[in-house]
Parts: sequence; C-alpha cells; structure tokens
Amino acid sequence: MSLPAIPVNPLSNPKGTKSLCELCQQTATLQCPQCRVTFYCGDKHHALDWEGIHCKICPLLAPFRALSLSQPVGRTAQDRAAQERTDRLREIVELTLEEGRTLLFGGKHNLAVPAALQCLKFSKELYGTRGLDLVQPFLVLAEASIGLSRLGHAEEYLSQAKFSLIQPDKAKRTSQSELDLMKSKLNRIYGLLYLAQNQTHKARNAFANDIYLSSIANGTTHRLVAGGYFYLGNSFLKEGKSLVALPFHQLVIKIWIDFFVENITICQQDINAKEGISEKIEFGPSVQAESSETLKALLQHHSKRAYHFGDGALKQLLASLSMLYFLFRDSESAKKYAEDALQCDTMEYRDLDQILNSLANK
Amino acid sequence: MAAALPPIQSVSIPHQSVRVPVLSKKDTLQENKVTPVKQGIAGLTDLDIARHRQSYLHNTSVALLEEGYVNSFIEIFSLVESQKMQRELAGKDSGHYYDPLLPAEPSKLETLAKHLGLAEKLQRQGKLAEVCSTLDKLAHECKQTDSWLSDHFYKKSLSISELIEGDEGRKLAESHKNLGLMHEYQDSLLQAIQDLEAYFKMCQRHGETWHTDHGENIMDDACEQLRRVYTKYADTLQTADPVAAIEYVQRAYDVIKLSSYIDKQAEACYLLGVAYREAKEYKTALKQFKSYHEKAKHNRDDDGVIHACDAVSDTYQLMGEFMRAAEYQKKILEASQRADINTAYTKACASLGGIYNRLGLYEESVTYFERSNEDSTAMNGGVSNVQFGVANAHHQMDNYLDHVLDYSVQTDLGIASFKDEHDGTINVSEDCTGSQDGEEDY
Repeated sequence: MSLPAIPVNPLSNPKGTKSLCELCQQTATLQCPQCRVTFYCGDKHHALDWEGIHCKICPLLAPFRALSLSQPVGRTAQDRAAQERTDRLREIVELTLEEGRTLLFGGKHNLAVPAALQCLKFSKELYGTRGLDLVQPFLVLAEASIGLSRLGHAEEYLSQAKFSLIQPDKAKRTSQSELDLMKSKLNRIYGLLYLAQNQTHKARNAFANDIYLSSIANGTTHRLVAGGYFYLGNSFLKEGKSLVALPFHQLVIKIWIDFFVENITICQQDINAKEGISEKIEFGPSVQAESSETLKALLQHHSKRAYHFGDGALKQLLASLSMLYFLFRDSESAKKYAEDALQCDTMEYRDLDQILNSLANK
Repeated sequence: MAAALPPIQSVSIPHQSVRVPVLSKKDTLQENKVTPVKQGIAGLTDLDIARHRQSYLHNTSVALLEEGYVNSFIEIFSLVESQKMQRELAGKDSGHYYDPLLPAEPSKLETLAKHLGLAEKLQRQGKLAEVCSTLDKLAHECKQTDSWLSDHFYKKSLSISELIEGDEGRKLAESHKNLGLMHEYQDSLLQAIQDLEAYFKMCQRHGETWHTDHGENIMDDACEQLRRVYTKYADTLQTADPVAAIEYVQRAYDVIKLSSYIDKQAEACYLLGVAYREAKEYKTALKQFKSYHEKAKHNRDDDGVIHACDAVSDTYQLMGEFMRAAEYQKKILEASQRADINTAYTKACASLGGIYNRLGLYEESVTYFERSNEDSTAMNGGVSNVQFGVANAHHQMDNYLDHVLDYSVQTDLGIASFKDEHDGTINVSEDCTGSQDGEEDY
C-alpha cells in the first residue's frame, strides 16, 4: 500500500510551472511522498495510480526528472546526459506498456488506464507527439476503455491509433511485419469494440483482418495469431454458432500447447535451469496473462457445455494449462491440471504423457 | 481593400423558366430519410472501400474467416507459402520462376476458396463422402494448370476417405483411383501403379456389388486402368530393361484376363508377343501371337486376324522360316478379301512378293508384286512400282543367265538384239522373249 500523499503548495512552485494531476490534468493538491515529482488532484487518483503503475515506476521517476532538470556543461556531458535520458525513458515506456497489457489480460481495466496514460505520456516525450510509437499505448487505452464500457472513449483512442498508424514512417525504423502486427492489433481492438456494440458482422470482419495480418507477419500458427482466433470464435459463439466456433478454439489450444511444449523442452535441455525453469525463455508476464485468461475461458466454455471439445482437445487444454502454471512457478496448480489431463480417456497425444507425468510428480 | 473590389453582379435567375417538379412536403421528408447525410463514395461502405484497397489474398482470407472456415484459410495460406518456397528452391533458372504466384491469380484463389469452404462446411456436418467429392472436383479443375495443387487435393481426399465408415471402402477405392490417374498424368508411373493396384485389390474384394457411374462392373474398370498403366510403364522400360518390360506387359495381360473386355485382352496378348519378339524370344512370341490370332478368329474380328497373321508372319521371317511366313500372309489375303480391306490386301501382296523374292521364287514374286502394284499405284506412289520392277528384273535375270550359260550362235544373236533394242524400260523382257522366240524360229 502506498504511503499517504503529502500536500503541495502551489505557491512554492517556481514561476510559470503548474503542477497537474497525473491522471486528469487538473490542478494538483497532493504529491507522491517518495519521488516527489508526481502530483494528484486527490486521494482517489493517487491510490488508483499507485496501484496501477506508480508502484512500479516510482523509483525510476525521481532520477529521471532530476536528469531532465540538470544542465550539464560541455558537449560530451550534454550528450551523455541526453543518451541516459533516452535510455531511461525507453525503459519506463517498455515497463509501463508491459504492465498495462498484463493488467488488461488480467481483466483489471481500471488499473490499466493509469499505466497506459503514463506510457502515452512518456512515449510522447520520447518520440514526439505523432508517430507509430504512440499506437501501442493508444491501443491499450482503447482496450481498457472497452473493458470499462466507455465505448465513446474507446472509439476516440482507436481513431488516434489509426491516425498514428497511417503517418508516414520517415525514419523507417519499423519493418513491414511490425507494421502488419500493429494493424492486426488495431483490428483486434476494433473487433472488441464492435462486439461490445453488438455489431457482430463488423466485428467478424475486423477479427478476420486481424488474423490475416498477423498471419502474414508470423505464419498462421504463431501465438500472436491465437488471440484473433479466440475472439473470432467467441463472436461466433455469441451468435450461437457453437459448431463454427469449435475449430477456432481447438486451433487456439493447439497453438498454445505447441508454444508451451517448445518452452518446456528448452527448460529440460538447459542444464543451468533453476528449479527446472530456464533463463532462456523469452516471454513476459503479458504472455502469461493472455494465455492463462484464454485457456481458462475455453475451459469455462467447455464446462458450461457451450460445445464439446472431445477428449483429445480437452487433454491438450488441461496439459497446456498445467505447463503454463509450471513455467510461471505455480507447481501446485501445474500438478492439479497435469493429473486432470492424465485422467482424460483418450489414446491421442500420447507424446504429452511423458511431460505430464513429470509435472504431476514434482 | 475589400471596398476597391468591383461589386459582384447579381445574376438574375428567370423565374419559372425551369419547371421544377413539385413535391409535397411529405415527399421531401421521406427522401431525406432514405438518403443518409454521409453516404460515402458512390454508396460504398467502409468495408467495400477497404476491400478495393486490399490484395486478393487478403480479401479471400477475410471472406473465408468471416464465414468461419478457419481450416480452409490455413490451408490456402500454407499452399501460398509452399508455392513460394518451391519456387525459391527451384531457383531462377528453373523456367517456372516467373510464373504468376497464387496471390496474383484471383480466379484461382476464388476457386480454391469456394471449394475448400464448401468442403469444410460439409465436414462440419459430418458428410465425409461429399467432402471427398468436393475435393476431387477441385483437384480435377486444377489438373490442367496446376498439377501440384491437384496432387495435394487428391491426397487430402484420400486421407479423408480413409475415415469414412459404412461404405465398405468404396470412396477410399475411388480416391486411390483418382490419385493413380493423377500420377499417371504427371508421368510418375510407378506411383500410379501403386495407387491403381490398391484400387484394384479393393475392387477385387467387392467386385460383384460395386458398379461404376455408367453401370459397368467396377472390376472391368479397375483391370483396364491397371492394364493401361502397366503397358505405359513397360513402354518406358523397353530400351533400358527389356526383361522388366516383359514382366509388366505380362502383368497387364494377366490383369486384363480378369475383366470382360475381350478386345483389350487380345490387344494385351499381342503386346506381350511384341515384347517377347523385341527380346528375341521368338518361340514365346509366336505362341502369344497365335493365341491372339485364335482370339481374333473367335471374335470374328477381321482386322485382328490380319494383324495377328502379320505379326506371326513377321516373327517367322525373323526366325528364317519363310515358307511359314508366306502361309500366314496368304491367310491375310483371304481375310482381307473377305472383309474387303484393300490396304491390307495390297500390303500382304507386297510382303508375299518380298518373301518369294528372298526365297528366289521370282515367278511367284512377280505375280504378287504385280497384284500389289495394280492396287496400289494410286496409294503407294512409286514404291511398289520399283519393287515390281526389281522382282521382274530378277525373274528376267534367270532367262538371261540361261542364254549366257547355253552358249550358241543363236543365243548370242538373241542377246545382241536384246542389247540393241534395249531401251531401259520394263519392256526389255518382251524384247528378250521376242528374240528367244526368234531363236526358236531359226
């Protein structure tokens, strides 16, 4: 929990500077007692920001702000300061973006908003007010707004993202596949918006575009495409076409299980792995949040009898959940799901048994 | 500054010069309702505009996904990828490097999407047999232009037909047949043989109950397909490995014997004979040809009989038994006269002429060549004419030799007069005979 905020006295500011609330840009009356560079209009926003993002970036902010204010003498010193500033900014941007996504997948939309706002702010500071780098924070904001049922805001953020996306990329820093991925993400969020607005036809079109674009970038069975399949399946499910939704969701399971098997194999081959988990695995908490939310939702569909997966697919689903928990160091849940998966009465996917047995016995 | 500008002349619009159709207030209101304020370009929606901007592949994929055909989407995508990869592997010198790729061919993409979508829909409904038919149809459509696609879909159809239960494997058999025919089309005959043999074996088990679309017994079809491929394969082997070639021709004959196609059996028998003859096993070849002859006689097939006799006679000639060869050529004469087949008759006459010429029986030779010449002047150009001439010359040579060997004044004179009047034509013989007669007169 955060320390109680301390009041600020606007009169003590240097002339011309005005402290504004981090979240709503109103005149601030409170400031963070630790970094002393972040201001709030009231307790409510202070608490929200702290829980959403500030607890993570607070220690990073003070040195960064100090760096911005310092005025080094001499060209090399100036260059070094500028370089350090950019490095720190980039670090903060990446951290906030990842945090925002993780919160989104965890369903904590209101907490994701401060993270995305911070990300947007620092991205603007780092890259300027227009450009491709603002697309990601806008998209996180839009998704959070959809989660909070603020569809008008979501639409606004989405059009901002779309606008940033069509800006000419003068520096050519972004490759075509990255661009495709961004477009695919944009389409995905548009799809979610249409789904929330009950425009299923438009939603399906958006998700289809999403799948196509991310497939172009990474192939049809990459984990980045899985989200598109999942949502398109969901929109069919919403229309009551469970038979159509089924192949989409089976595909999602297949993609995730392949992904986890690959990573588990890396862990098993790595001798230096601590507690069986290798350092070589390259994915962050947002992947964990996405996969676990997706797979749990699928399990829920199955148990609610929206459709029937069949024993083979169910085994795959449980196995992938088990591996997911193992990779994120929750061995209790991993064991539970592994045992469930082993109980599935099927002759398919015998190759999973070895991994499952080792997980169940840990 | 603004005041310095000349005043804009007001344009007077003549009232009532243009008649505007009078609309009631109600009408205009309704019209306003129908046309929305922001209509977009020429009535297009956002989605339509996007569709015009995107690539064919993009549109096709999106259309498939919107309908929920996710497996078809993945399949088309992987086909596109594999085509690209194949092309890169083949390299720029391959000749096909600059052929258009699938994404550049909207009509093909459309065909693929249509059929695959339908197949997926049917599969969802559990109608596997219809899935196979759809895939077969698609494969058939691709056969001419993209045999690799066709191959892919036939294989897919085969793998699906393996799952079908309750039709005793009928669909599986058909898939084997389709794949076999496809391989035959691609000239990979060994694979074709494998598939068609599988088809044949399945048909053998259910030969009595299964029928083709035309109502024939399926066994006949299977035998015929297999025979054709065996024969084709044997053809390719003939120069490289004559022994193996004979084996395949033998197989073709064995297989076709199981069918009810009598003419095809005869043909296979003949080909077997030819194969043995090529391998210089004349006796076996002769046996086959004779059996072919019997079959043809049994079928009252005059063409067949002629063909058979010709083959037998040919083989006897190769064996050096010219009298027997002549015997069979005479059989051809009979048969061709009976069936009134002029060409065969002429040919047989020419062959007989040739045989007798070889045997030194010039008189017979001349007779047959003359017959052949009479018939064939129109058809054959100068060839038979020359043959006739040569035979005649051989015949006259005997006479000439007689004159030279039985030397006397008279014969000498005869030869001299022959040489004097010799004008290089065929009439020489008459001169000679004339002088002979003259000698006797002396």
